[in-house]
Amino acid sequence: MGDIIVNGGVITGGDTAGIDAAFGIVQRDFAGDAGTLQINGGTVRGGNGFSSTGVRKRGGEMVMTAGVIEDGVNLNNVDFTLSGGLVSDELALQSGSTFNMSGGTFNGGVRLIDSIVNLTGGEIFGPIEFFGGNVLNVFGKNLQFSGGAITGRLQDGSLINLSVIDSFGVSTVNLIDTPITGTIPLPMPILFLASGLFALGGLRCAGTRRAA
Amino acid sequence: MISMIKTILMALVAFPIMTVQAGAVTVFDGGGAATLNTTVTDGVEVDNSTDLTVETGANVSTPPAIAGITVLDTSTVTVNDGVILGGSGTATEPAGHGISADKGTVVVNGGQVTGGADGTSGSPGAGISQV
Repeated sequence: MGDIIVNGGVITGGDTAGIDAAFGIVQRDFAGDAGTLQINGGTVRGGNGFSSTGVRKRGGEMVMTAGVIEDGVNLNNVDFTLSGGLVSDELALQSGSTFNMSGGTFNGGVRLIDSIVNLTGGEIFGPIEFFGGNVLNVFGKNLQFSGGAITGRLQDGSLINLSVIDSFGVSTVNLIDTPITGTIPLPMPILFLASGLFALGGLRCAGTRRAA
Repeated sequence: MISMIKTILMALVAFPIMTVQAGAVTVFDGGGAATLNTTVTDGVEVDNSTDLTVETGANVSTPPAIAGITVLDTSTVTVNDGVILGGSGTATEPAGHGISADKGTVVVNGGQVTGGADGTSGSPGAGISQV
């Protein structure tokens, strides 16, 4: 089984007038052998019409570092690593899929069926919904899970405010406190205060050196 | 005026409108590297470990229900530019994919790859299909 690599261009599913979905890219395993899908740029979208999907994939690995996927992603038993780019509409993961997100943006929420999500960075707009037994591991700082939402900062320093809907109550959410590696933007008053303290420290050091 | 109309009618009778016959699919199966940069109206097949590069000027279309480019083995198709369009569906057959590569590798760096539009069978083509 070969691979599909998208570095640019536009890939679009056919227009549909009926009830069948159109896919920008469809990649399925054959006899247990599935290729890798890499998206490093360009645009992938479903067709015009009912229930179109940007990417539908079963088995194997998917890596996205940049680019745009419109009309959502539907994965079945796929290891998906997202470090950059934009996915509009929904991410649906099912049947043993694993989703490692360290960057990029989802603006349509995530639906999980018997899957695992490791979240260290990036942005998810919209709720994360559990169907069946799932595991959500969130790595960051000052993480809290209350009122049906996870708040705090992810490992890359980005803010998280993620609504969680557990329809069956059998999924697990793990909040894992880790050092934040990204740059955290500070409020301006704190920046001014910090710069003032550094300036005072510099003057004091300079005066000490002169006195010595 | 009447004589002019007669002349036109006689010309039409003498040279009846021809039915365009579907031509043969364009095949790249020589192995090694190959380039497509022209218009193809009956689809493309890639076979025998050939690395096909689609460049500026390529415009691939097909009859109904046929993929724009079909990769028959582990060959590679690299799209740098151009337009690739799968054939539309019919009442009984699904539309063709833009690129169908069950075992082959597809790299898209530019251009447009589009699946065929749904006919009345209800199945539009995917942009790229690997199944």
